Amino acid sequence: MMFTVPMKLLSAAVLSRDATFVSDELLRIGSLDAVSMKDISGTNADAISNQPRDGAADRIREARKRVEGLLSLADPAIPRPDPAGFVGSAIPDAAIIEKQLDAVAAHINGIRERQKEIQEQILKLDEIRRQVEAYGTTHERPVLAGSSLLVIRSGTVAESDWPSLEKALASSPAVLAPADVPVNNRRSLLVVTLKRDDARTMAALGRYHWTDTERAAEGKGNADEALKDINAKRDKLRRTLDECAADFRKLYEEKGASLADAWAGLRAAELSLRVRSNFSHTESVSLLSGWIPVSDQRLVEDGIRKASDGRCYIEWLDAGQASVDGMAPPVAMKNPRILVPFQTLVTNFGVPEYGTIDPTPFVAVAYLCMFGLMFGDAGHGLVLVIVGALGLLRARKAGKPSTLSRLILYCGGAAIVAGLLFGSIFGQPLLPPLWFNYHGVVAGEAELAAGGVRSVYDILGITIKFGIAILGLGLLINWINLTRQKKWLPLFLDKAGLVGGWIYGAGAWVAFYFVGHQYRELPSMGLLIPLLAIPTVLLAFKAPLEYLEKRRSGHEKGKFGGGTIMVFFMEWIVSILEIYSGYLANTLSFMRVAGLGIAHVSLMVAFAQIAAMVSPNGAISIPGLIILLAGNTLVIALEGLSAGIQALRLNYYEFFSKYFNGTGRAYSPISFRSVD
Amino acid sequence: MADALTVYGFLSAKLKTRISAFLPGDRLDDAIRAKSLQEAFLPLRGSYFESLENIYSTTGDLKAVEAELFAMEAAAYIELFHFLEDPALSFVRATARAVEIEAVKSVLRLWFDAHARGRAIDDRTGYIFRGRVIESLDMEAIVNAPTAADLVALFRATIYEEIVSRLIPEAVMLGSVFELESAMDRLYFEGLFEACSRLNTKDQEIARRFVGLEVDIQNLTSLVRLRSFHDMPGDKVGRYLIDFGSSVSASSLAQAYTTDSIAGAAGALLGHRYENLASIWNKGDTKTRLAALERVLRQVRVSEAERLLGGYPFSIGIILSYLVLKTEELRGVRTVLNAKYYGLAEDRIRSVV
Repeated sequence: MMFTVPMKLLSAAVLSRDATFVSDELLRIGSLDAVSMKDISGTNADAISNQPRDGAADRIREARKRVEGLLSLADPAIPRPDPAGFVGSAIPDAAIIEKQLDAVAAHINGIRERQKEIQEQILKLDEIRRQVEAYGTTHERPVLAGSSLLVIRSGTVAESDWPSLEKALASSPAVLAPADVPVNNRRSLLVVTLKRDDARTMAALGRYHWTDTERAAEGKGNADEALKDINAKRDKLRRTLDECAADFRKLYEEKGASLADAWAGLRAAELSLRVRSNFSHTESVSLLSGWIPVSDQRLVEDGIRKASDGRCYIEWLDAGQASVDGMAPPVAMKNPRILVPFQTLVTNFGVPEYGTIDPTPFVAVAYLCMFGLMFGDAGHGLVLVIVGALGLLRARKAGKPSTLSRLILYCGGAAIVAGLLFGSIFGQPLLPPLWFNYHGVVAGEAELAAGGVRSVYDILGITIKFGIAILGLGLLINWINLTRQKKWLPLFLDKAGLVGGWIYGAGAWVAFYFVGHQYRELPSMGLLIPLLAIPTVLLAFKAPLEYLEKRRSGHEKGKFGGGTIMVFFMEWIVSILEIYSGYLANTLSFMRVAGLGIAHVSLMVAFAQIAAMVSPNGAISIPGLIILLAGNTLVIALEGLSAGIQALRLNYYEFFSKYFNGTGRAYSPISFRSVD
Repeated sequence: MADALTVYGFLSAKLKTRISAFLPGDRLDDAIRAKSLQEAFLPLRGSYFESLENIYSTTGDLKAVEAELFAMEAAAYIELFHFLEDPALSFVRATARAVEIEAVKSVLRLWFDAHARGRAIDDRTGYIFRGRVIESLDMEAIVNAPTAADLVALFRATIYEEIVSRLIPEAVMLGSVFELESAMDRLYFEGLFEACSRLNTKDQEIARRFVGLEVDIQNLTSLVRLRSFHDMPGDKVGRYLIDFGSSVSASSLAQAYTTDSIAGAAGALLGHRYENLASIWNKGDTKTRLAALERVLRQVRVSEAERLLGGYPFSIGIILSYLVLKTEELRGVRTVLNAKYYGLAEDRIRSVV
């Protein structure tokens, strides 16, 4: 956890006939971050050949993605089985699977076509309904006959013709309102159509010996009846649509399991082929190479021996030995689950260099401290905790990443702790502060101030000291990293090295001394010389020493002369400026923590005062509560976002700039957890 | 008058953010590679077009999906109205007229099919755009108007009243809505030019370039259609062309039409960057040539939009770029989904997207 995960470079030779078993075993273990054997074989590179790119692998990948898509159509989604159980099985025939998928797609298409036909009929009915509704739906306004768009016919058909007529008009945009009981073996009927469809409707009615009758002024001749019939027809069509949906579900009940199995088989084959594609070959031997975490070394070695029945040669190289051009070990960070959101913050910035300190735990502490200082309110923190928890539940339910929700949850926790330290709940100093009363200090109520903090200057002072601690921690991490990497020159003379740290520490002490003496007195020269002058002079040695090192290693071949000395001098001046102005800026940058904290309190005080203004007698009123609610909501949303962004900025640009080298390559083993 | 930063500052940021969230090309490519229409919706998940899958899955109706795409296009214009003030607002409203005219044309075609040609339109009326862009039009009543007189009455007090009252009887008599539609296109451009003239000098310069290009595209498309589908005599062509194109005047184009040198006119129209247009034009049948021509024209539009996007951000240019790119995005999705419905090959789809 303290440092990035140590890696070893595996190089192995197995018989070609065992290659498949070995690749399957490596896939099961899921630790191999493969590298091309050609990259490490040096002069023997010509004797080996890489696995030729196989079109079958692409086809399997495409088929797998297609199955994934089809599986995602099911509701609820069909869980994908673990492909591990399919490793070692014969590689599926992509052509056969594609045919199965085409059949499923065709079935779905058939269902959609049916839905489309039904939908068209629903749309026609909807149109008639719109017309009917536009011209009244009550008994008091039975004005359908007066509609300029609709035709209403009242008449009868023989009872024996009624079923056929109903069938004939089923697919036409006509609404039939039949009487419940036939009279004299004839059924009374009301037919509503759009005028533009009247000719077609009349033709159908004529075929079934329709006889016009005079329409009653009330009863069936009104729009309610027509609407009733439209709704009945529509409901029937809706039920048919439901049947289509049921057919769709049935399709997945029947095919879902085989689709899921097909996916697992294809995924296992795809990954197995991907492992094998990194193998190199001689005539009868397959060679493989890749980075493995040291913790998995035994497991991988045993796996290869078992899969090859002992017919193998295995060699392990330490990361230091293997660090040749283009062969830098990949970087894995192993942190507890609780720190995952902070690890994401780190990797969003960059991947640290291999073998250096994993900054995640430090970022977690620094980020939460900064957030808490800027957003110190137990009530607001509680809101963030609730929002984060809800987001977490939602993400879990949807099977989506929950990093942001977790981060909000943790920030909420930090705000609660800080709120208790400052005694602040929803912008009110309701609790006795454990540290100092932020509200009292900001409002200038000295009698409320406590804990040695009496003014906003004291708060600014706290954040500056906090900044010095963070920057100091960054320097310490840098020194440890450089020591482990045996980079002695940067360790001593870099601006974030020991000399830089010396100047920074001494400079901070001098600054506090100056402030402590009312800006009138600096330490004596006897102190200033060893504290600042000596390390500043030492910086002048950096450029010449670097030059000498480059000449020794052959990287510097230019002629030494006056120009070179001038360059040394200029580099020294630049270093001095960078250290003095850079560190000052870095430190003062932490004043934003105080700034946002003060703004948070000020805004809440302002909203409390506005709320008090609307209730001059001091009683709690509804408008006052609304103002407080709106104020709290605004502050939580805006200040929460600002505090989160500023905390991130301080980590990225002040803390990371002291030690972080984002040149690492992320460890990316081929495993069932691989994302693609 | 408010300064450019006040007028366009917020909108510029908003639209640039929107443009950055447009459907990435690889997603559209995934949709092209999908093996069925249903699968073509999958790459649209998580994008602005996610809702389309739900429409298709519940109705199986691609026309309903297309109607939704049209509504999205209209919404893209309408939304801008809230963020602008005159004269920029008038100009954007004038550009939005293109969408409204498209909706009006569709509904008039339906009315014409049902009443003048006696065709069944039941399977199409459900997809009418019923929203409001600029004018308050009762599309439902228009499509169901029993007579031409009733139809004209429904356009009373709108910008379309004069055209509809003058040309609907003629359309019914001649059995064609071509004149009516051409008049509406001209109306659109007249409005655009008028709104353009009210912009400030800088915006006017940008807008004129854009409008000029639109005119060129319209004229060229009209020429091709006049020759291919209507076989219009040369002396009557001029009245269907819009003047003030960016490269070639309407009279020159009309002359090119009569001398049968459309390819040359097209080349001149589109400038040196598209000088190979003549070679495209001389290949294949009318349909192929039309497709090739439209492809080049779209390319010109998009190039112009991208050029504007890269320029000064506080001008009407950003809005025009957004609208062109949005229209292209919608067109791409619409084309791919239709192509999947008809089972076209990937290469063929790519050639038109």
